[in-house]
Amino acid sequence: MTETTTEAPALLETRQVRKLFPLERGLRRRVHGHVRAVDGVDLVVPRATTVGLVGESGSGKSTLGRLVLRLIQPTSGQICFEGNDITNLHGRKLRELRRNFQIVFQDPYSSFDATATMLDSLREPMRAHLQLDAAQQMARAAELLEIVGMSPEYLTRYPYELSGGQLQRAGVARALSVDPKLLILDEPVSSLDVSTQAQVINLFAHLQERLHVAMLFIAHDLSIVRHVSERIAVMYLGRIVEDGPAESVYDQPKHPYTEALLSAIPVPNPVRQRERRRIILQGDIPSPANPPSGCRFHTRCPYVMDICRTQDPALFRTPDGTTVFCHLHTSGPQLEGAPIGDLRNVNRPTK
Amino acid sequence: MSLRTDVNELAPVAGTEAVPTVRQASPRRRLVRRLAHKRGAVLAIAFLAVVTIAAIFGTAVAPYDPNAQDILNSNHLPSWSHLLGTDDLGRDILSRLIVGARVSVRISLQTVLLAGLIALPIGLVSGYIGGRLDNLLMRIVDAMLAFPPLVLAIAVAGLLGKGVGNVALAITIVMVPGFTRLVRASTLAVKEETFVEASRSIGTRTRRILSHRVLPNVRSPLIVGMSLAFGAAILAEAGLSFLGLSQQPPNASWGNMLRGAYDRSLYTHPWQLWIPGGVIALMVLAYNTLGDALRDVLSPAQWAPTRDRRRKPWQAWNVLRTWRGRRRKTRRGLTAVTRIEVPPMREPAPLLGVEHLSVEFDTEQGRVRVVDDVSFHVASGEVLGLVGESGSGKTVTSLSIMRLLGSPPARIAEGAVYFEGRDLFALSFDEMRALRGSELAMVFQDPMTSLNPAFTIGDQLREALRLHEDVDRATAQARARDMLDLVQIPAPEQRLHEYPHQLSGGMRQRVMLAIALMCRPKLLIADEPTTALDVTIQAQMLDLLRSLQQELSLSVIFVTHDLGVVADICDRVAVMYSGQIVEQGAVGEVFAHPQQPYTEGLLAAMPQTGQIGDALYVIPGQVPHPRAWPGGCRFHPRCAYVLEACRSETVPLTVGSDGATAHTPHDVRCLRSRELDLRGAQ
Amino acid sequence: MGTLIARRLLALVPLLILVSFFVFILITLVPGDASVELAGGENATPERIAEVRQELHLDEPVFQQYGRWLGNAVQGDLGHSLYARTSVSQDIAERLPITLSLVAAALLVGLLVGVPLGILAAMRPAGAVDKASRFGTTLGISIPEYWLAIILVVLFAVDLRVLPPSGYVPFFEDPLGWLEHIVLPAVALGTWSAASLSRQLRAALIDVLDTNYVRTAWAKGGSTRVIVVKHALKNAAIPVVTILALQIGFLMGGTVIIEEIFTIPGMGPYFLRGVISFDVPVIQGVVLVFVLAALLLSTLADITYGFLNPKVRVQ
Ligand SMILES: Nc1ncnc2c1ncn2[C@@H]1O[C@H](COP(=O)(O)OP(=O)(O)O)[C@@H](O)[C@H]1O
Ligand SMILES: Nc1ncnc2c1ncn2[C@@H]1O[C@H](COP(=O)(O)OP(=O)(O)O)[C@@H](O)[C@H]1O
Ligand code: SF4
Ligand code: SF4
Ligand SMILES: [Mg+2]
Ligand SMILES: [Mg+2]
Repeated sequence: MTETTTEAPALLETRQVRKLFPLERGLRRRVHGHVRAVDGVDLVVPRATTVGLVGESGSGKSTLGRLVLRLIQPTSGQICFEGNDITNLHGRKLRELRRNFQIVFQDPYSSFDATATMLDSLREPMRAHLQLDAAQQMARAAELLEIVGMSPEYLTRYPYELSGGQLQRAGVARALSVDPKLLILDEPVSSLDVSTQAQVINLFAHLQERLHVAMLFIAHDLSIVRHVSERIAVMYLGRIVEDGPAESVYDQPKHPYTEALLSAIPVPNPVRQRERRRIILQGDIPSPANPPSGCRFHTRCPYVMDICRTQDPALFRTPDGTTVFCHLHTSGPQLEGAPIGDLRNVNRPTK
Repeated sequence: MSLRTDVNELAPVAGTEAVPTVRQASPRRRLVRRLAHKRGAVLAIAFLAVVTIAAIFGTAVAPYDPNAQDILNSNHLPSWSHLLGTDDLGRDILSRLIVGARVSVRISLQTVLLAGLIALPIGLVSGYIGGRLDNLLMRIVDAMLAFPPLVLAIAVAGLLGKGVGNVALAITIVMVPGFTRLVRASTLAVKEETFVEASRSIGTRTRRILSHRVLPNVRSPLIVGMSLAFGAAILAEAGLSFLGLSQQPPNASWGNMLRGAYDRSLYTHPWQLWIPGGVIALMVLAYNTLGDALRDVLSPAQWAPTRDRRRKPWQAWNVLRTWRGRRRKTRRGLTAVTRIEVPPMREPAPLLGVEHLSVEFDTEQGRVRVVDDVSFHVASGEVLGLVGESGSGKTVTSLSIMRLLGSPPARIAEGAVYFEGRDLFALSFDEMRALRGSELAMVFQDPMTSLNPAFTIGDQLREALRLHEDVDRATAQARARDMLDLVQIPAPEQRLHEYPHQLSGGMRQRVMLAIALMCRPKLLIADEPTTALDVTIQAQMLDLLRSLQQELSLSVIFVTHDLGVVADICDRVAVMYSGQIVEQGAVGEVFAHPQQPYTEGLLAAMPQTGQIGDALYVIPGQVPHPRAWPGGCRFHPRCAYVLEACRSETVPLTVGSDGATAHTPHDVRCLRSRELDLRGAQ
Repeated sequence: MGTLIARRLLALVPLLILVSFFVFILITLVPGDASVELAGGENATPERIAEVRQELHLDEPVFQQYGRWLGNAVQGDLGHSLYARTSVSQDIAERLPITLSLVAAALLVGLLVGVPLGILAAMRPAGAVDKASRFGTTLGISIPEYWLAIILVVLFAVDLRVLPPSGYVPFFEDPLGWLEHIVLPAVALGTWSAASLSRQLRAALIDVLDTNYVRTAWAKGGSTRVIVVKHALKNAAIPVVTILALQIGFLMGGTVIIEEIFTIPGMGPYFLRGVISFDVPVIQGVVLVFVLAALLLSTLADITYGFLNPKVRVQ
């Protein structure tokens, strides 16, 4: 803690966290490489704020979430919670810390034990962290269900008796049962239908207002996170490439990848959708076991320059507080923090 | 403005959700009920109960002293005094059978329970903790499993010395590694489940996770394994008895009774061989039947019976219930048709006309209709979007056109599909087969599982062509290469020799598309072809589809739940809700001026719409299960504009004329479409 | 593919060491003083006890004994029978081919009956064939093979007198005679194999026929034959091959009793005599050879598995 800032430390802060999964081969499980799932991430989640984390699948979002929850051990780097380094906590200390973080998973069905009733599942965090007797647990579980808009009658039900949307809300109730300070939402609406999805998204906005809980909202769809997030971080191949205030990232992307992601989401308006300028990225996301040199996005970037292929872009901070990693802001047709859209006048991309 | 956008009203509040009316029985009760429905299982349980009781009381219920010899009455056939006759020494066979049951029952219970008890903790801990310990234990288990089981049992029992106790020990030793394996494998599977990760992140102790999360989920396979092992134990003991290693004569066991009859009565009184052997076989049969029944009842699919919305509609060939009713001869690969009337074709005939299609499933809870009176058409060179939330019947509709739904349980109850004037529901299997893949092609949602993992890409492409055209391999290969080129797969020559698992999801979906286009079909049905892909890959795919569609002037039915995709690629759109089409028309029309509240709601609920910070529009409630479709307008419980009439009156689809009349410019299913001024896409 | 085979063979090494150790320590199961017990129990003479002790090196520590035994075994010397004084390796070499030919014949019966039955049953689940085969195969896996063997003898040898009730003729002396003598044992042993194989194949096929890629094949316009024989069977064979490997172990166990019943001079009767008379070198030798054969065959199955499954073969 050598920083000289006077502000209170952020709720959660990661410093250059890295997670490499070894690739094993052969009889003796020889390690012949690593999947660089998360490769040096600095992320800050302030108190009572929602941070959106977006990127294509395989970009390392879930791994980052699991690192923050300490479900897996980082290969290097630091994770700080309220200014305290929690990277190496374990045993009882870690279990006690877990009260502060809770997670909601993508698949509502598999995140509940099919052999347990909803009450049993909702009670689990209380049993681990709160000294409540059975009646109090029951009352609290009922109250939590009401908070997420469900009737307490569901307490006696089994997971398969609930719809996906209901289960996802029950998942939120379970997460909230110990008053966590940080909720990690790992693609919580990706498996839901449009109408149910809107219900759950609104629930998050509502909870945020009411309970002042901080959230790390992971999604692959920028248009979903923008409804609830104050900040949005965009991830590509294990790194965060842009991180800034939600409106700024959504309306005036500073990184070519963010721009491409946004342009790929079709808007439900035939007139607008057909006359939009669309950037179609070529090819697939490269393997994180063998990421490209220089800027990791250079193999697909429509604005790629020579320098991109060899040099890792450095952090660039724009006046509105966005951080971005792209050579466009420092070399070539220097944007110096302007949105990528401005480039169109200078250097039209090939496609 | 007609939309309800007040945040407070939208935020879910207690009581907004109706509790489902269909209440399921508790899992245990349901298990017992299902088991009771299986005749074989009930018989097996009864038989096992009788034998076990006889074994417990043994000599007390035996009519004679099992070891008492009576040379004068030897080799008697069954009679009233000796129900199963007597053996060569005049001993009562029934009595010997009863005391012999003691040995079998004791051995089976003792060995299986003990082996299970030993294996359970080892397997659980080894599987859950993993690492070195697991590695070591599994090496040992592998080594033990390498032994032919009976050989090992004979060697161990022989070296320990003859006798029932030692045989029990030998059988237990042979069983432990198998059970350990089973428990460990199930533990590994459960450990990967998200709910275990949830427990870990909650901060639950490992011990409690093992006992409360892993154990209940490992129990089922272990119970099945154990019930099958009972039979194996009985067989093994009887075998060892037969070889003279277990129960020593004159004391009876089933195995040594069989041996005695074999040694002494094979040529003279062969019927004596039938009794002990038959009892062994029956006992094992009973345990196997019970094991099979338990396997059926305890399988995870049975555990969560109402999740059939997540079940894939065509995956039902193996539903064991057959259905009655009007049934034409059906076969694998062709949906049964049980319609009574054949609706006429519309004029002028489009490329494809779906007329009043209704599809039903025969399920355990009875017959459910999941697609109800659906009509639409696709003109030549047109892209029709079929859109709706999951469970609305889009996949069932598309598969019905191809007649790919499994029968049973699916059947086409009403309607007709005219393709170039031919009624597809009147075709034979071979006629339908000739159309599939050549004129009508389909691309499915899941690229990861839709290609056969055992064959190369080239093989699968060539097959698509050679099933319909008489071309040699080289020509087919060249065409396959060109097709890969057409769907913009880099290095097509090399890809032809690769297997599906070597390709990314996006590439596989391109291959699927290439397969579908091999014979230049007239109509392509694409069932959510981009849903499983990332947005960036989806954009590539849509781009490709659009250019191919124009280039080949394909007609396409594009199934999706994403209105954004519809806006991007479709000419016309049909919106489905609860098995019905609720609105249908030109995309521009429908999106700009929706006439039906559900369409309006869907448009407004799309996350792409609205400003940052604003709450999203919410359609309250959820899509009802087909068994619980409400009367009247099916959307009425969720509709913001509902009137009394909507609850009771059946709402017909008002056929519009695509822009000709002012009030219903397109087809709409709503009582109030004329008076409502609904908001379209922004 | 070459590396796959090499890898599988390499994986055998630690397994072989463990397995051979287990075989060796079977001797420790003998209760009390092994040398007394092996020399004939209560009526053993002191000379005989000393002799046995010396021959088996029972005075040495277990690991040393194991090392010596393994060293000899690797050179093909499995010691001498305590009673007949014959070389165990030689005895086994004479008998193993007979037993293996019985296993092969039984497996053949299993494949010839089980595979078509499994396919037919899977084609129409809950159809007439399926129902009948379900009943038949459940019965097939429940009937003890030794009882079935006796019934077959009663029917075909005692009543009908069409086949010999027992005995064995080497294949190379008289192929027809060999066939006559092997039919009943092979059927008795193979019935279980056929029943269990057909059940497994049915289950695997039904699973495969429900997969998305089979749906793709229907959608391409595949005929039932193309679907079942090409698309489904190759994929269903993958799990079934594993089961086949397991079956080999079971069949080998079964030969012991079957050979005893039909008085076939294979490993079975030799093994049983050894067990009854506490002839430890014989027991160890037979068990070792059985387990080696089973391991080798299951490795073969493993390799076939890799061959069928491109995910293993092509990385
Ligand atoms: N346990 C693991 N072992 C090996 N590789 C993993 C593991 N978990 C994730 N990965 C790899 O790490 C990368 C990032 O995965 P993930 O964090 O799940 O991405 P996202 O959530 O953004 O889709 C992927 O390439 C994935 O294959
Ligand atoms: N095999 C089946 N057995 C019973 N019901 C089924 C089966 N398959 C699908 N259904 C039902 O049919 C309805 C429509 O399913 P589907 O066509 O897959 O919807 P969509 O494609 O619109 O998501 C669902 O409600 C589902 O429950
Ligand atoms: S650094 Fe270069 S390659 Fe990377 S995003 Fe910026 S312009 Fe594109
Ligand atoms: S008929 Fe009534 S309930 Fe149905 S959509 Fe129209 S207004 Fe709503
Ligand atoms: Mg993820
Ligand atoms: Mg569908």
